[in-house]
Amino acid sequence: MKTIRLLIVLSICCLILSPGLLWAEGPDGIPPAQSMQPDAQAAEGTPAQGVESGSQVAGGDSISSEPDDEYSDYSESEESQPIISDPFEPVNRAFFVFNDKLYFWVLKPVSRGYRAIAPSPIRVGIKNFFSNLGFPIRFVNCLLQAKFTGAGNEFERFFINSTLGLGGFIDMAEREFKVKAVDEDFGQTLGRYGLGQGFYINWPILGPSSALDTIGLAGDYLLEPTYYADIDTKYKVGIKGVKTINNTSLSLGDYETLKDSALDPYIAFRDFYIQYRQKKIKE
Amino acid sequence: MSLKYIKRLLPFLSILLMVVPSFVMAGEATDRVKTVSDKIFSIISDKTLQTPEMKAKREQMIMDVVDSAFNWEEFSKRTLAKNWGKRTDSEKQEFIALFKELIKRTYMEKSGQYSGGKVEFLDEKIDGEYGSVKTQLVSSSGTQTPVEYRVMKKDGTWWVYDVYIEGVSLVSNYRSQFNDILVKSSFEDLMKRLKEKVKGA
Repeated sequence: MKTIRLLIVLSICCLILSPGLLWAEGPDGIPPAQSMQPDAQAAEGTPAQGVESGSQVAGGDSISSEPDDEYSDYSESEESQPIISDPFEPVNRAFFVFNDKLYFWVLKPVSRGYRAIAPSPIRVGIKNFFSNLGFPIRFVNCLLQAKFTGAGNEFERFFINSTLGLGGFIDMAEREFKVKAVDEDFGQTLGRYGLGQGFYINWPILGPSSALDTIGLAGDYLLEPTYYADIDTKYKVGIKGVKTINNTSLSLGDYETLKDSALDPYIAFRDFYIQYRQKKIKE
Repeated sequence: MSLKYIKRLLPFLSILLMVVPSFVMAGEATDRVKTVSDKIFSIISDKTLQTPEMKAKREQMIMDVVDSAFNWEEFSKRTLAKNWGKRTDSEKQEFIALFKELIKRTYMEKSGQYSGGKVEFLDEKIDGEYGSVKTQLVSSSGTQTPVEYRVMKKDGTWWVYDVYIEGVSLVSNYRSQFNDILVKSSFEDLMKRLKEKVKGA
C-alpha cells in the first residue's frame, strides 16, 4: 500500500521534472557540454558575447582572442564542462542561506558535542554500518548500468562485512580483501542512460541536487532498508538524523573550508556539486 | 614439459608486465609535481616550523615551493576565460596577484594541522604540450582523496595550471563564480570583492 503511494508521488515528481530534463536534452536548450578546445573565433567575432548569459555559467571555458594552440587544453573526449541552468536561483539562494544557518546553528554544535563523547573508531564503525545498509542501492544500480564486476564487488562486500565485519561495523572487505565500494545510485544510472542533469535545485535540509538527482534520490529511497522497516516515521527520521550527525562529526571543518575558499559560496557549491556528479556518472 | 614451465611462468610474466609500465610512467611531469609535494611535506612535517611564531615563515616557504611549479598567470587566464583578453596588462597583473592570494589564504590555513598522510602517484598522461598527473592523498586515518594536476610545458618546463580535487576543477569552480559576478555586475566589482575577500581573513 505504502509502496503504491510512493510510486504515485514518484511519478508525479517525474511529470513535474520531466520538462526540465527534456529541455536540457533538447537542441534548443542549453548547449551540450563543451569540449575544452577553445573557440577563439566566437569570442573574437562578437565582443558582446564575451560575457555569457546567466544560464551558461560554466560554459565560458575557452579563452578569447588568442591563437588556438597557446590555450588549447589537455583534452580528452571526457573532459567536457558540466553546465547547469538555474531558473530558481533566488529560491535556491534562500535555501542556501537556510541550510547554512542550519549547519552552523544546529548540525555543527550537535556533531561537535557528539564527537566529544564518541571516540573516532566508534564513529567510523557507525559510518561503516550505515554504508553497509546502503548495499541494495549500490548493487541494484550497478546491475542497472550493467556493471557486473561492480555488482559482484558490492555483493562480496556486503557478505564479508555483514559477517566478518560484525554487521557492517568493520570494513573487512576493504581492509583485508581490498574490495572497494562501488558508489552507484539511481541518479547516476539515469545519467548513464543519457538523461541530462536538468536544472539545479538546492533543497532545504537535503542540500544541492538537480532535477535528475531528485528523481534518483526518490528512486533510491525505495531501496533503503529503513523504508521497509516496520517502524514509526519519527524513528526513521531519527535514524536519518543519527546517520547525518555521525557523518558530519567525521568531516567537521570541510564545509567551512570550501565555503571560505569561495568568493560566492552559493555558486561554488553549485559548481562543486555538478562537477562531482558529472564525474560520478562518467566513472 | 616445456608448456608446463611456460604455464608456471605466466603469472610472473603478467606481474612483470604490470609493473614495468608503472616505472616507465614516472616522467618529467610527475617528477616536477613530486618534487613540489616532497618539499611541501618536508616543510609541514618539520616540527620546528609548526609553532605559531613560525607560521609566517612556514607559509612563505610553502608558497615559494608552490610558486616554483604553479603558473598563476595560466590559472588566472583560465578563470577569467573570455574576459581575460579584454583586460589591460596592469589589470591582469593585479588580478593574478589577487587570485594567488585567494588560493593562498584558503589552503595555508590547513598547513599547520598536518597529522600524517602521504601522496601516492598513480598515473601520468602526456598529450603534446599538455598533461595530467594523477595522485591520491591518503590521510593518516586512511581516507583517500584523488588529486589530479593539469600541467603544460612552457619554456621547456612543466607548469601546473589547474588542480582537480575529487574530480572537481579548481579553475572551473572559480570561473563559474567569477563569470556569475561578471554577468551580473562588472570587472571592477569582481576586483573589489576579491580584495575584500583577501583582506578580511
